[in-house]
Amino acid sequence: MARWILHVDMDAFFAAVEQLDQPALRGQPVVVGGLGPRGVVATASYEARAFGVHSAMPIAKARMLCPHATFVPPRFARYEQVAGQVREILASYSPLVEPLSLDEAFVDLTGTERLHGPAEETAHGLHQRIRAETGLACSVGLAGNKLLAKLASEAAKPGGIHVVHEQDVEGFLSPLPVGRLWGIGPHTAKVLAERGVHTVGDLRDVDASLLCSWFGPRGGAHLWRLARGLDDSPVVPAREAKSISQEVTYPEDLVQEEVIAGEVRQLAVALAARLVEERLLATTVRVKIRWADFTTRTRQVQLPEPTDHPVLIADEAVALLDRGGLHAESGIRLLGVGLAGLVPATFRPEHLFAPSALTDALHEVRSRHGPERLTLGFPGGDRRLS
Amino acid sequence: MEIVCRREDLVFGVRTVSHALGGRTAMPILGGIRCQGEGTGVELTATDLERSIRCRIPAQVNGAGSVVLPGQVLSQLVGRLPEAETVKLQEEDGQARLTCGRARFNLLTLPSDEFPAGARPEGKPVGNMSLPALLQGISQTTFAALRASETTRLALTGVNIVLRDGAAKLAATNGYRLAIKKVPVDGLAEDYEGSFLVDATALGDLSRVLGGVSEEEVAVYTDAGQLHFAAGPVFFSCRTIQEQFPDFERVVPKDSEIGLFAPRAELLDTLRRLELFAAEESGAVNLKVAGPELELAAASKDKGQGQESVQLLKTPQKSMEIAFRAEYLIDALRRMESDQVALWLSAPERAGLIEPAGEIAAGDEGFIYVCMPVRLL
Repeated sequence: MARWILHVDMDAFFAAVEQLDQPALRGQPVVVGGLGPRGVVATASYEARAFGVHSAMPIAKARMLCPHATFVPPRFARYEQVAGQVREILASYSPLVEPLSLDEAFVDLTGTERLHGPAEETAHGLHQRIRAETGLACSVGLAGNKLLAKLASEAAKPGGIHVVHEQDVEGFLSPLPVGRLWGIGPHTAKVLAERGVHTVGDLRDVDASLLCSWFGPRGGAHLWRLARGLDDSPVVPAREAKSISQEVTYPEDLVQEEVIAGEVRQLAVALAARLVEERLLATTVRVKIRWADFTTRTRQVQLPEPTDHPVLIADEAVALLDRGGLHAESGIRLLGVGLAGLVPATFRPEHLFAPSALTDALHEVRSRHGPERLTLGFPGGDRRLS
Repeated sequence: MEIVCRREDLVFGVRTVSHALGGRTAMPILGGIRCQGEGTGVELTATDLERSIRCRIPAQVNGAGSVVLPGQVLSQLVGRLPEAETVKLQEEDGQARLTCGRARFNLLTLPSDEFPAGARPEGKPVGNMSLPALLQGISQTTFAALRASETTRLALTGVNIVLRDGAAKLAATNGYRLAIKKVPVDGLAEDYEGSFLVDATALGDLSRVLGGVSEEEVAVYTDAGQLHFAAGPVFFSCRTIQEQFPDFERVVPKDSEIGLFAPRAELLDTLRRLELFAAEESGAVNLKVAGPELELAAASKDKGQGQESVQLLKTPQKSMEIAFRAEYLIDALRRMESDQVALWLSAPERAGLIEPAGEIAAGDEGFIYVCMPVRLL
């Protein structure tokens, strides 16, 4: 069966989210990045790119190139939220989604024709849905493997769709500079350039044994395959993050112990729900406390079995809070809960005293009525301060 | 104060109490061993506030007194003393001198008035237990508790000891498996009932300490917040954990329909082999019952897979498939002594119960083990 791999790349993602949230910024140059003296550009909107601003550039240089741009610090929690929305859309097309970063992912559409129609139509549908549901533009590449799909989405930028059919691979690749191939770094590109190899077409014309004499048998064989657009690496739905966490900075410092414990429970239960949604189990629970004077402490514990049980996670989180030396009277400005040691939920260790029926019920209600509808009833647990 | 005692008695005493030496630097006094001399004996004491161990050794004492010596140094030193019949310890004005054969040591002392004494309980013990039975009870339960590194909640790091109806019921669980052992207690008053939650590592120390005495019986004392065990020269006190132990009786399966009777050693060996192939995260081994054989299998992505069957001693009435963390089954089976075990099952998501079967070995009397399954999704 022919493979169909799709690569989605959100266009100027961080900047686009800022423009989405602040309509006044639309159509204007926007630069997202660290605003301190040593900050660098994380993302520049296309309007700012027109002035030569690009990511990883020092902010000071960006200010020189484009002084009238709006400079904003990154809001990762918000980007994470939008990225989650995008991932959810992608997941509705295929169980095999491999996020590469917040703004990029591979989707394996192989064999989804019967459900969603031909891959090319799916690509168009998905492209439109992301636009309609998030208000953001993305570029989509569709091809027979990950290598080509990623190159195709680059060719589709900004905001387009590019499909590379099998018969077009050679024509598509030949004019590209070798450095654009995934896995050819500046060093390899330089070695190739010294030998007169600049484009992928040039690379394809180099004899395999010559390539091997330049880069060794493994490196040579790899380049030989790259030049022909061959790549059979699978789309691995592994998480990009080994942990998930959530923290809240409170508008007013918290001083009451039961309110603080209630907040930590809320965070823990919300994270447990996310575990269930993403079919993961956690083995490590972390708690982060920041006092009014910005003293910050984190405490963590490793559980005997991986779990997604809201009560087990919440109980440990609250107990960690106590061990963290919770001096509520000095005021707490931030609380965070994190889960790490994540493993796919291909199994569930049943607990003697915490039946998993509760997890199932909680997830059921939350997925039907939204996360605000149900949380666990604990003293102080229903007081939401933010 | 001047103390003269046999070298080997001092070695025994110091080794015994050093199990309770506190490593905490916050209270340097907890790193000390107190030597209290009076009449015909010396009482050595060490404590880390969670537990305290006293050991009385025979000695000639001139001028009753008390001195606290640095525990780490003393416990290493006694193991290296030269051959000699006796050891002499002299204390004067905060200076301690230890003499053994031709070796002489001046030891720094710690302020003895800072030593947290902790009183021996007044009155009679609540009952007496056979020492080997208590040791077996500790061995068959403490392993099931949560380790302190696995939780911040103390309740499951303890062994729950309930004294009533002529027995001590010890129970420990990590939330996924539960070990219960009933040890007879002589002389327990008919209306007496007491429940104590004791740190599992403290009980482990108790078992190491009692393993060194030649007594047959252990006397049990209780008082507010503490449980004490006395056997011969040793008096061991442990503080109880002030937390609620879960209501474990209610999770012990009582209506399991499927009983798998198997030769214990054979099942244990099979599980040990298959454990090597269990997936890292779940540690699961799959059990499939259909007919007179129990089919066991384990598989992991990076190690391959293994399977083996064990001939059951009775053919179960129903078939069933269930998975357990292999380690949990092994933990119980290897601490049992009977030739046969019974594994009682009811449903793939419900607890299994392990108990000795056939001719029950003395060491397995009163032991049951509950293990939750792993559901493979």
